[in-house]
Amino acid sequence: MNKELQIIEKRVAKCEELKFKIVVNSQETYDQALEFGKNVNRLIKEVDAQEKDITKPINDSLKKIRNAFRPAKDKLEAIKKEIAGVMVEYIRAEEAKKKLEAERLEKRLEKGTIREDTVVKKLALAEETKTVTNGGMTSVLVIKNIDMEKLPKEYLIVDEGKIVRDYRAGITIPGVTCEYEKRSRF
Amino acid sequence: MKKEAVSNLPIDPRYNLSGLSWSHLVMIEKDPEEWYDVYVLGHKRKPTEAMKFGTKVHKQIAERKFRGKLKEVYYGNNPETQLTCKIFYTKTKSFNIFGTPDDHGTLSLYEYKTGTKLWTQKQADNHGQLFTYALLLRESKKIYIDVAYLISLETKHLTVNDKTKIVLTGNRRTLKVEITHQDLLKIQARFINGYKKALKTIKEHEER
Repeated sequence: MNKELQIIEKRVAKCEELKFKIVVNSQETYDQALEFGKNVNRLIKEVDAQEKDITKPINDSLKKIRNAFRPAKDKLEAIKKEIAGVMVEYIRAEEAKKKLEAERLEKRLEKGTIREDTVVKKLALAEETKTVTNGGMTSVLVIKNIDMEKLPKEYLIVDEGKIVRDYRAGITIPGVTCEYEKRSRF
Repeated sequence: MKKEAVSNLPIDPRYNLSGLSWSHLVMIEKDPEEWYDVYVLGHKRKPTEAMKFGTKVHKQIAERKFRGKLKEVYYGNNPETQLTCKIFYTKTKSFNIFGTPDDHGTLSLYEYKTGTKLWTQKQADNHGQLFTYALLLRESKKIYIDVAYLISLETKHLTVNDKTKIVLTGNRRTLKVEITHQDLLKIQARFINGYKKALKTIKEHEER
């Protein structure tokens, strides 16, 4: 592989050398630049092919190994997910129960049917006896609902692909201007 | 029956009172043995550079000597007021808690935090120190706090002539936290559990 790489590096160095000589200021020099660009493109394809000769068998082997291990991993992931679901369900139920009880106590306190120190004592006991999750649980911030009418523009991501596709299809999109820009192609 | 705070908790030199502060509670919850070492045996921890910088910034805010990037920081009209109150864990038995909010007004309190990472809303919402101060204000001054502002000031390490110092970057976040009656009940419950742990730790040491 080292020998092949050395040959490629030599050809790349040659290309770099030639690149500095390219000046486009007439039809003739434009055509020369186009030809040079095409040669560079051909070299890229050759390098790609050589690379693939080496990487393809490795990738195929990797794929085979991954496929062999996948079923076991998938089964374990499914078991993990199921256990996590049961744990989350239990903690959620416990928290909901705790919240309800705290609200009930607060209402009784407002009505004057219970003393504040009794409420605090009950809350302390609930806190003391709650399930200790020991890092087995985490809180993740999730978006529950979005009101598109109220959402400020800064949170929107433009679907540029759809704009370009629709523009090509002749659809007028309010607020959007498109134009064709020149790009070189070899 | 006379209602007074009776406890075996150590006397805090800053308040000259036996009881717990927010700092005590955090340490008890994390490691009661460390709390015993620091607050009962008096083995003080050496402050880090970040802690020293935080103290400096708090001093500037308290003395209203805003300089440079500290300008335009929210504030109330009562900086660094030492407060104490009692938490009753039965009808007649209580222990003291104490604390010094950075600043407060008649409905709001202000707490400043310095650090390389700005605080998040969730961190502020769950920050018991705000509820502790709201409770202290309610109990000791009959001030009913509706909202607390946690002002997070970003810092960075700056190296000049091979010397590294901590400076404010100018980035800050003002996080608003609504204070409810339930928050005040829950923080009392938390202190009671902390108090129980503290007493248990003291007792274990006495029996050794």
